[in-house]
Amino acid sequence: MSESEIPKHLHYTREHEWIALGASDALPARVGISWHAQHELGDIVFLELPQVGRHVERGEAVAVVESVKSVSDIYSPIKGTISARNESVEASTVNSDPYGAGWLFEIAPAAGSVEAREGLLSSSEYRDFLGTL
Amino acid sequence: MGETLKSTPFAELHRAAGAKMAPFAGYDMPVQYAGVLAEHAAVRHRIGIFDVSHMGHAIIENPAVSFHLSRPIEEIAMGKSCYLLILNAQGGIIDDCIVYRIGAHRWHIIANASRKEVDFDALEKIAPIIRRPELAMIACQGPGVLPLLGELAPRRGFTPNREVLGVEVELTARTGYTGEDGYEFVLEGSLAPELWTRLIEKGAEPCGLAARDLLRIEAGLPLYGSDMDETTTPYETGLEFALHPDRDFIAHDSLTKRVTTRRRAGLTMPKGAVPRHGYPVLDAAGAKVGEVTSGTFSPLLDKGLALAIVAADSKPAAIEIRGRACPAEEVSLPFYRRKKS
Repeated sequence: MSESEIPKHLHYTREHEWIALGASDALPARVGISWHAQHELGDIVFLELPQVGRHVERGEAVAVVESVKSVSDIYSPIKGTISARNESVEASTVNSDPYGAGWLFEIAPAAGSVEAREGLLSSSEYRDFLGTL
Repeated sequence: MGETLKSTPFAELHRAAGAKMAPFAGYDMPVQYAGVLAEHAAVRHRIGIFDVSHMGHAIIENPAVSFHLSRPIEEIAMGKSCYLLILNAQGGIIDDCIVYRIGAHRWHIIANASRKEVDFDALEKIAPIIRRPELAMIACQGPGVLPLLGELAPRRGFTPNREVLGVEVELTARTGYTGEDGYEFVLEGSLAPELWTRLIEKGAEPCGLAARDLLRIEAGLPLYGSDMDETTTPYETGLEFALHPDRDFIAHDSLTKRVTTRRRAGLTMPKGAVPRHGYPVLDAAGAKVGEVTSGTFSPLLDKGLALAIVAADSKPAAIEIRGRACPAEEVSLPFYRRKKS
């Protein structure tokens, strides 16, 4: 799998979300789905994004990504508060640019959640995880 | 690893072309190649080909099997095809099939992959049939098909034993499951990869089962197992056109006595959350009046589409998706009808 499919600077979950963590939990963390996830879903046609201001737990279903053939829940990788959503993104951009313009939402992390990195995988750990599927 | 999957003759070609494969009805089948939307566009605007070799084929020589069928095969004209249903004694649908009249005492039946064993066992309770597991099938569909290949078979009919692109094809049928014009080629499994390859060389684009499902819903065509099953009758599923009930056949008494309380409905929704099998259908007051049986998003119409089974006297107004009532409008089927030339 190439670098473009699992960028090194991101963290990942076993549910195939990525999260761009800031150096501390004062900084908002951007979240999207991995290259593997968009490839499995196929052509994405609809997104349901969470409301800004919503408090979320780690692992809580907060968004929905629909392709023609299936619907997938997206789970929050960390505890925090939704601080932004990618309001006007085209559904197809999540397929074509899942790590860039296809981001889904941002979270203001709860205190301690970034440092804890609970349940988050590094890029090489995610690569290994994909190999087991 | 679970049970061994069966393969069609094209399995190697699919994998070499990078198809995403998945199990379907016990077969390793291509779900998509270039992507559902690209494949959908190929069939609606150009030429798409599908490997449908998982389906079941048999030859019928004794028309007594009509006892199990929604209409008698003796009435099919020579050279013509007929859509019909295999029914049980309660009037429920065992499968939907197409039957081709290939001789005075000879018919070719094509059954769904997931039901072919059940179907053929049921027919054999009445008379022997000849199963043809060695046959493969390619569906070739789209507005570019006739310009490329010419008129190989009449509308609603077929041509037996002709060459297509130099390959011997047992049955060239002017039938399909997409709403476009085109053919279904039934041929020896060993010859099938050659025909597939030649069609690709002529510009046909390979399409998988995901695109097939989207196309058939746009065309308002039902899928056995989603839209009908052994508990639903032809009256409840919009298939009464395929039923000749006034004769001595397995479901005559039950269909005469059975009160029909449900009907089929076609619903569209504005672009957004996609309706899917099992989602509740609601009336304007929010009461549940039925369920979605098949649903998808149509890039052609830019809307969600649903086939549903609803209370006969109801007025569907919404579909419940993830706890929210999303407005829906009942329309007459099909959702999409190609322009006839």
